[in-house]
Amino acid sequence: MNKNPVLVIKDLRKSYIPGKPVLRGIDFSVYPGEIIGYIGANGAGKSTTIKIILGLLPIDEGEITIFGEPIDPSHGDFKQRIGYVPENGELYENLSPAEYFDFLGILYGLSPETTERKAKALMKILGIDGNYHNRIASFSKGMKQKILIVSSLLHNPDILILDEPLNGLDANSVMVFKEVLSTLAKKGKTIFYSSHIMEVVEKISDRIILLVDGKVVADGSFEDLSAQNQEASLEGLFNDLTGFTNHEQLAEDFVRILEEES
Amino acid sequence: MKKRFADRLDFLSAPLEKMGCDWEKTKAVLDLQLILDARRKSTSSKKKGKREYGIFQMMALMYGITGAFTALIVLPISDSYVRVSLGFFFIFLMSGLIMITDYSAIILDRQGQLILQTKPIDQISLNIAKILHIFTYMGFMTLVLGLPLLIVEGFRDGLSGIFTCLLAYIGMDLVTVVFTAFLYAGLLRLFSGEKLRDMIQILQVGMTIIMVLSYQVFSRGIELQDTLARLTPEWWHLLLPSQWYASWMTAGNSSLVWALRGTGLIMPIVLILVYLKVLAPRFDSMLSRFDENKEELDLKKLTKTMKRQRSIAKLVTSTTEESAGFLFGYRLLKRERKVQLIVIPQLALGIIFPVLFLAPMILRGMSVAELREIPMYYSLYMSGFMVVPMGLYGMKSEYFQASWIFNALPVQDPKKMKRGLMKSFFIRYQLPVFLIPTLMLLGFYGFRYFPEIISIFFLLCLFARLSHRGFGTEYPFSEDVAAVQENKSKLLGMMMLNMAMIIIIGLLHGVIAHLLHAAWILLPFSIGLAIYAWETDRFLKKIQRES
Repeated sequence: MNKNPVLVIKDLRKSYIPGKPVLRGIDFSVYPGEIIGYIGANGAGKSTTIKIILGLLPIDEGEITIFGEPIDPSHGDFKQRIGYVPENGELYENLSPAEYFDFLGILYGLSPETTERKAKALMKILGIDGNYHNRIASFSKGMKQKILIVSSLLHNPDILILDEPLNGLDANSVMVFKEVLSTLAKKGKTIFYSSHIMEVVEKISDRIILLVDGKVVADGSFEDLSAQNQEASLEGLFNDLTGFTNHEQLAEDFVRILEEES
Repeated sequence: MKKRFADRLDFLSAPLEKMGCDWEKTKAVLDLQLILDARRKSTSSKKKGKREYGIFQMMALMYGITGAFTALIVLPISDSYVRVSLGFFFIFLMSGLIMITDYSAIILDRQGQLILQTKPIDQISLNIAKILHIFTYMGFMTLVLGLPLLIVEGFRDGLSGIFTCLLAYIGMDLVTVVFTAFLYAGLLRLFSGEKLRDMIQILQVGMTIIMVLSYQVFSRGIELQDTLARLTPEWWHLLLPSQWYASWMTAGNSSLVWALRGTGLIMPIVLILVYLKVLAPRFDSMLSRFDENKEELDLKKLTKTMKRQRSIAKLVTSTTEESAGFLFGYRLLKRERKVQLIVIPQLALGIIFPVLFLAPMILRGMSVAELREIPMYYSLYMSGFMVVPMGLYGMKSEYFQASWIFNALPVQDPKKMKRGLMKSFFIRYQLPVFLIPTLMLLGFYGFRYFPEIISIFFLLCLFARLSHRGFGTEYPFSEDVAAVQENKSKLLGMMMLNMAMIIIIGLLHGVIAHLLHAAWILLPFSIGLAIYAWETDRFLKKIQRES
């Protein structure tokens, strides 16, 4: 690809407790139009990477550039071009979507009218219109997730960072949202997609980055990776690369314990 | 296996099992609830190595102090009947307050019940576990609260005093808990959905205000001693549970006295039976009323409100980020029920403090003209007593985990947004506390002390801003309100510090105004400082340093 990368991570290191590194030198570059499946076992360092990219956590060592500039946590400017759906995204549920979006809109530099028009239209497409002024606390899990998705896209960002974004969504909304992602990618937006659901990652990503113990162990398209490792599914590939092969034995043990006499 | 707390209640097993309760399961549920309570975080502090006291100890300390204070107030009263009447009344008020502020959540808890109902355990056992859960706390807290009075009674009236106290504490607790449950049941019948939550909120805030204010009035009620000395049992005492038990201490032997005593013995038992037999089985299904029908919204009005809020923001903030913070906080504070439950009673206290200070003089029969001659306007400083506790509780949120959003947004200058957030709290909750007594005093004195009163008003605004120094560097609304609420001794400490600082400011004011005769100079000075403090972060090193 001859385009300029939107995001470059060089030798990124981070530890919360000295001597126990969470990230042990991560390197990769991301280009416009890519959908990246960012995967790894629990505790591999996915969320830490994402938080660092957003400037929520300081860097121990290494370098991150976004749109050609090193990130500067004291200046929030670069966040104007990022949309973020965190895992278990909590919301100030005592507010209504109207009030929440109004706040985001002001900081994204949208007029109140634009915010309201866009947010209402997006909510309508996701099937939750008519709740614009209700407390978010009264919403179902899926509805809250939709509010998070709309919040992350309201300002038409160039990079989307999504952590389990389909959490709680109904099947129809999942289809719409996947379609939205591939359309956005075609328009040159970059999507950073982190999830534990391998089927979805396999389907939507055109590049997969696998993290094991704070290091990138695989980086490439699903086709390339599966050819290299002779695995037909991303799930199998994931088990292979994380060194996990005894799932059948574990399952058998599990059931046997259930059937033990009390 | 370690002996569980619930095992100590084994003596209750026979009658409860007769009611259809599976005692072993009940004990298991009760134990789990108590473990969960013990592990609730008592402080929002993330520092490691700092010893964290259990919520339990903290609250016990707080109520112990209140109880000792109560005992001290009633100690000089020589007549036993009058003494316990007043003492029991205090304790009744306080235990009602404890019930409403701390343990309503158990009665109205649905989450836990929803989980437990999927397990093979019957409703009766669950209900009994729930009520034992509440009584475990109420019993303990009432004992802590009532112990000083019990000791006083032990000395004054010997064994009979002690027994009367114990009987009163048990009886009043039962009445309080069951009465509260019936109140909620009434609301659950009448309302549903968000309206129901609002009504419960109003009930809780209202009851808390009434109880806190009565406690304040009565604890300053030395003037009432003459009236109280003539206290005798009356028919309307049948409505006041504290009098049922106080009646054991009267020498009278009329049928009314026996009616009161009898009511005190029978009523708790009747109430608890009615609760278990009639109310409890229906209560859990009534709780589903919370999820019923969506509120009917008046969209025109809502749009108008949002517009009006924007114009307020324009008036009090100068940058986009500040105004974003202000609007966010202003709207959030309007709807944060848990925050309101704590802060609104504090607000009421702040307003009433100056009035309470003036009340004894009015009671002593001083005329308005005489009062006007005394510079009583200094009492306005007392409305500043609640500033720190209000801020400490008020700038927290039930949904504090949502604060990631502040860091995910393109904020140029976090200080400005924080200032906006803090302004929203000031305007919603603190300004009224200062403004209402100020206007009252201006009305009372006319223009006579105009510069003094207005100076105090602005010095209080300045103090409110300075108090943010103590609130750390986090964004407002990024810590849990429940964590602070449980830490009552911190509140006590902060209130002391708050009072000390207000008194220092007041003394300085007095020196400047009276020794230097510089009241008119103080006025522009205080206005300037207050505006300067609110429009910059100069006085707030901590906040400035961060992010």
